[in-house]
Amino acid sequence: MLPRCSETVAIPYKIGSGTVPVLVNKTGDWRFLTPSRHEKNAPCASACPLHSGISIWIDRVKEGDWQGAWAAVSRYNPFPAITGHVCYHFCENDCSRNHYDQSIAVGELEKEIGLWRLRKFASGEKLPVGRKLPIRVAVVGSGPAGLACAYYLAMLGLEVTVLEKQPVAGGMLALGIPEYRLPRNVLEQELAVLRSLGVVFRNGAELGRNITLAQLREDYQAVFLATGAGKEKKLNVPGEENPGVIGALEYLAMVHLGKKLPDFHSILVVGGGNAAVDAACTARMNGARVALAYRRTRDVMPAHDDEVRSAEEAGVQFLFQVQPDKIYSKSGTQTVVLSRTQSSRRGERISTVPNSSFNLACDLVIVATGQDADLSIAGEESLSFNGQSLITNLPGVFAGGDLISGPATVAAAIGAGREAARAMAAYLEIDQSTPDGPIIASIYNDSIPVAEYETLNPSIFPKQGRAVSPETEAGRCLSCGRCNRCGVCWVFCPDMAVAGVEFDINLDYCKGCGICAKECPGGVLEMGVIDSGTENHHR
Amino acid sequence: MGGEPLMKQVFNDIPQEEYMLSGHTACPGCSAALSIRHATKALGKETVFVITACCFSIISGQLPLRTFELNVFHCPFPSAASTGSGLKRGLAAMGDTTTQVVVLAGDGGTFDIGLQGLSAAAERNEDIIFICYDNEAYMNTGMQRSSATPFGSKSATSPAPKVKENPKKDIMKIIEAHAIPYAATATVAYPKDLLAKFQKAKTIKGFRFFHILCPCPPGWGVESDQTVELSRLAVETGVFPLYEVENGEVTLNVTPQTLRPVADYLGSQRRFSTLSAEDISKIQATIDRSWQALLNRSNTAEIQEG
Repeated sequence: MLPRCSETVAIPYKIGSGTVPVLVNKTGDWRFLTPSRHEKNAPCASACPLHSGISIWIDRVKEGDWQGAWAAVSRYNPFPAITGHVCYHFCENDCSRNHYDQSIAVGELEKEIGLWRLRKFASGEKLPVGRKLPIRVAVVGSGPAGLACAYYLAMLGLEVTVLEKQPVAGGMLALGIPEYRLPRNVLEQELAVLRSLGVVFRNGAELGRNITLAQLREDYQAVFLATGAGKEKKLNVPGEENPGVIGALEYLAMVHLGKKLPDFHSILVVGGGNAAVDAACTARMNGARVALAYRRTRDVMPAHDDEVRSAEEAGVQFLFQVQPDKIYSKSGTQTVVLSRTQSSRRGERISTVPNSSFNLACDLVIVATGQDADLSIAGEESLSFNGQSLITNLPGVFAGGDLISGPATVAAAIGAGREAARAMAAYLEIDQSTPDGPIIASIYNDSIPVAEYETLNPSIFPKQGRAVSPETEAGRCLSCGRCNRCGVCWVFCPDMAVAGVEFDINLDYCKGCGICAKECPGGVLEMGVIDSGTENHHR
Repeated sequence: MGGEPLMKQVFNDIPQEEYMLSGHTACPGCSAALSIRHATKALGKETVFVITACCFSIISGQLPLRTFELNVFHCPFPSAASTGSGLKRGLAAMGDTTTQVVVLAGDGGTFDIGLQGLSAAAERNEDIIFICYDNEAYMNTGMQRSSATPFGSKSATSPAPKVKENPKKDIMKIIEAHAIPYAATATVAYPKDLLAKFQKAKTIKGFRFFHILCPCPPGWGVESDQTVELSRLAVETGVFPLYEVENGEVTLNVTPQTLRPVADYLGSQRRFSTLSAEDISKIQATIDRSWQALLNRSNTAEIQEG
């Protein structure tokens, strides 16, 4: 008999539910297209001269794991505190988030990791070196390329000696880059870290003058040449030999070495590259009136735009489309004869406007029209380079950085030092793997396509500018081209076919609708005609 | 699914529990299945579904299969709200006051065939949740026009060139006129918003109404991967604003600073392929007017998006 409404019945109600879970329907065989993960290169890593795995270490920052972030970043770049200060952050220009709100503050995050590691070092926590090998290697030149190479070789357990002709170590980091761009205490601390790793610095040792390459090859099992591009180009105008005309690097080195310079009231800098702008700003900060003469227009200046802007703010006067014809020197005053040019494109031949010359008087002319590598370092030996790799014709001798590439960036030089260390480790047959992962990151594969910007869902990725806290800022990273297990595919799967710790796609049930691929913020998931992996129930 | 390790908690506000099973027979890319999946995450296991004739009659599994790990009650087309009312009262009579009775109806079972029962249950303020997942036509039976089909849309019963001439019925206004405690619109492109609304509705007693726009790949003539994108575009163009009405107070949940042109939304749908530029500007004018009216009525905006 049915119970009346007023009576409570103890049995649990079971209404209308089927007894067989619908899981027996393997809807995977409806599928025409199958989603699969295709990891790509991130635009930031592709733009980075170091090809740093930015999204990998940003992932660690996001979770507040600074140790992990340092471990990840140092496989690409051992000096994030330095690049955080001086790098122009090509990564940020190419960041996908520029299409949406604002790029990730990669530079600031990198700097934070570097400074975190330096604070750890200052509090006595040294970098762990797993082993010591009785192999002696030499690094010639202590610029960013040489220092990076020395770091990796020391981490591999080798006995590293760095030879530097100047009385201070650091190369362009110490003598070229103005102090307002790189505080010297950061460099000092990085050098202290290297010394703690057992790297020996020998200052005053100049290859081709008081040591020879032949001698180095005898004393060391491998040699890395990173002497940079320090030979300054000449203007090739009459009057250039006057003592009132000096090169930009020479001027910057004198300032940074603390040499006493006469009081220059007015200075003319000739050139349009970063060295020219650095020299102009440094001169300006030392109290001189500074003009910078460049033979083309502002928009094609090789110097980085940020630098040009800060020079303008510092009060450097810019003269565009002019070039010097002659320099007269009389009792400490230089008179430079300049002509107007018509050139506005890079690579275009310079043509001067007839009868347009005018005079400009100053106390000092700084020439910054480019640098070349000084190849006299090889001495008696015949040394030749291969533009593609870091090996030379001499066994055991490697070369990289500005010496090979011509003047480039600090990041590119660090990258060259890292690749040199990799090549040297291979040459010396040293295994670079450790229980905590490799010391040097694997080689960047540029044959993989670069991930493109995917339309973002504002309810999942709110439009917002940069955040103050590093963890929040790191959380804005979309991890382009690399699955960071964000879970968007899981959120938007109508078939509950994405599950598990790794967000694996269950092909038994995936109907191939493609929403996951469309919503994937990093562009990792792609739809394609591939073997379904499920049994075809219609066969 | 049971036994598998739980994923890393990435979306803290989206529960990991699933009450729907893989293997259901919704079309690929079905946004209704996705919307109800998220709704069940918020509703939890103390839920009974009352399902009228609609796509979910099929998606929920033909006997003996079951898609929901919840109890389901199938009912005739016009009686969704009435069956829900009876079930809720029956449960109460048996001493169960906590189980949520959730009525699941398509636009046909809400706008047309179920309207009388819906209106009556709303007027009585029955303690049930009524979900209308609106795919804008009778999709399950072959895409015949309903009163939810928008102006200018092709359908099986309004084929080109005689596309639908009348505007879509404004069901939210009808519902509001019943002065119920809670009514909200939602789409799955904003899953957190959808979940939050269901979580809020759970705490309210009385008649609660949800209008969820569900783009339908076969019915709308779009690719199966476009449903979430179209749900988003519907919000961003103002075609389907996200708002909630609590005791007459209107709150806009997503307020774009500027609406995207409606052509962005209409353009990719084959059901609108016969629209002329004149028609589109007419639709745009209607949307601009109703959006302004909604802005005037709403008190606050919770999410600001640029």
